[in-house]
Amino acid sequence: MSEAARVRLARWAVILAAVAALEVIPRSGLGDAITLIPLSEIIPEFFELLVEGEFTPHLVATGGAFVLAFLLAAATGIPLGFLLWRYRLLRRTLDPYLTTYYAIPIFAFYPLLLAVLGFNILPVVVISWAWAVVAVILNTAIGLGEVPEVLVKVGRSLSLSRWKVLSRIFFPAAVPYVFTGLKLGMIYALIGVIASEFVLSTRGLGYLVSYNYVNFSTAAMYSAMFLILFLAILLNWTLSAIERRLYAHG
Amino acid sequence: MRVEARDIRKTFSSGRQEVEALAGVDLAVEEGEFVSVVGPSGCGKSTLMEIVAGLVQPSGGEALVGGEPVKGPRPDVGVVFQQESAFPWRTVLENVEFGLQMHGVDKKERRERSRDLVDLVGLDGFEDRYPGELSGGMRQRVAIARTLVMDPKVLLMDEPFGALDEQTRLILGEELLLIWSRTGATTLFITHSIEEAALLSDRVVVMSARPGVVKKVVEVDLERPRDSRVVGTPEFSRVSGEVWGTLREESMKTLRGRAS
Repeated sequence: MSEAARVRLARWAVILAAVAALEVIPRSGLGDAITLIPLSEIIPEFFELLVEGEFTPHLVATGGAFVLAFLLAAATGIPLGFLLWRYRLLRRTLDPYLTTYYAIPIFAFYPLLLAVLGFNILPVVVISWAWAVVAVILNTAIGLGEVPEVLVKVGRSLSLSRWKVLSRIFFPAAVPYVFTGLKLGMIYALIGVIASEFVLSTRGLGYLVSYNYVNFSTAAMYSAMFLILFLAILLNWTLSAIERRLYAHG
Repeated sequence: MRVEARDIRKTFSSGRQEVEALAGVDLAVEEGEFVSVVGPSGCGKSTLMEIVAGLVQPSGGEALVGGEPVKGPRPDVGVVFQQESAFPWRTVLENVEFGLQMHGVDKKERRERSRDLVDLVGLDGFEDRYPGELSGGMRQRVAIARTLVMDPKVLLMDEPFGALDEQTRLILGEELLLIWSRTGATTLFITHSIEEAALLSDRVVVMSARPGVVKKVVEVDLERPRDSRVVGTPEFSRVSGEVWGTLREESMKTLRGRAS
């Protein structure tokens, strides 16, 4: 068997072992029966909730907030990244804030956001936008800064205008970095939405997990967790597929 | 179109330190002539080229192209750089088309002209490949084709084969001669390879250690069309020997300067 085949086999074995553990550990009486229930009791509940449409409004709420937050992060992050790259003084001023940004647990500010924005979708969107946008800003600025000088000289030697040099050389050359920023931003936006729904919302998958937890509906809680897991995997898979197409000729 | 450097000086300042790169360079490349500039590393030969290209302002003196002072890049002056400069996000054909596209040449015409150039540099069959899929030598041909498609009357090349191995360099040099003989462009070629300079040029200009000035000009009396087999001829040895005689001294100055 080739190494690749063995690795594939081992990966499947990890998944199988995890699934088996989810079934066996609760049944063997390790852990309490209220919070740990076997997989075979979760799966029917999951499909029931899915078929009955119980998930639908929450899925729509989470999806809507996520898409909105991500689009806002992209639409504001790329121009801000450009400004940061273009103006050295701005970059030098903001540098310490930006580099320590992800050390600050922004979720801790949720009471403030609730007070200012009200108990609706807005605080969720604002938190996940704030969580996502800095990754987009930083990667855009770095990408533009990393464009090799010789490519710019090519543009200048062809007597291109500054705008053409920017739009036809700097931007396309920075695309791989900007894409990395968007990819991170997308993942952060999803984390931001789910996490803030726990405390800031009456809808959404994060809310569903916490609601079912509080109400001892353990099987429903796990079902919601699985749905979140599937969404995250799907998102990641889509991004990888786009990336592969983007760099197929790398 | 004639190219001339008149007492070109350039001083770079970084902080309080001032470094004199060029201390009055005079040289002329006649219409249709191929002139190489060799010099020890750091002698300012690349800076000289960028000044002639209009990419860098001299601190003193002036460059003239076709009798007019150079004020900035001009469309009839083509430049090929030492570093990788093919755009990785464009195919070979799209790379070659770039300049024409930017200057609004319509699609049909620019396709046609670019295909001719792709053929000329021997990349036919690779039109739709991306630079990342090509070898270093092929990527440099893309850059050369992208410059030549603009039909420059003056061609400035800064060690275009500098990153390639000796064999590839000689072969590409040979191909460059073929292309050059068809375009008839006045060519200023910067290199650190004596062999390359002797193989390609009508004259070889040897520069001094920093600050750079012209130390010596060696005429190359080899018949054209030439190919890389001239490497074995007595005239080639004479030229290489004469260039090296001057260059050796200057290179040693540079090395001693670094050691101190």
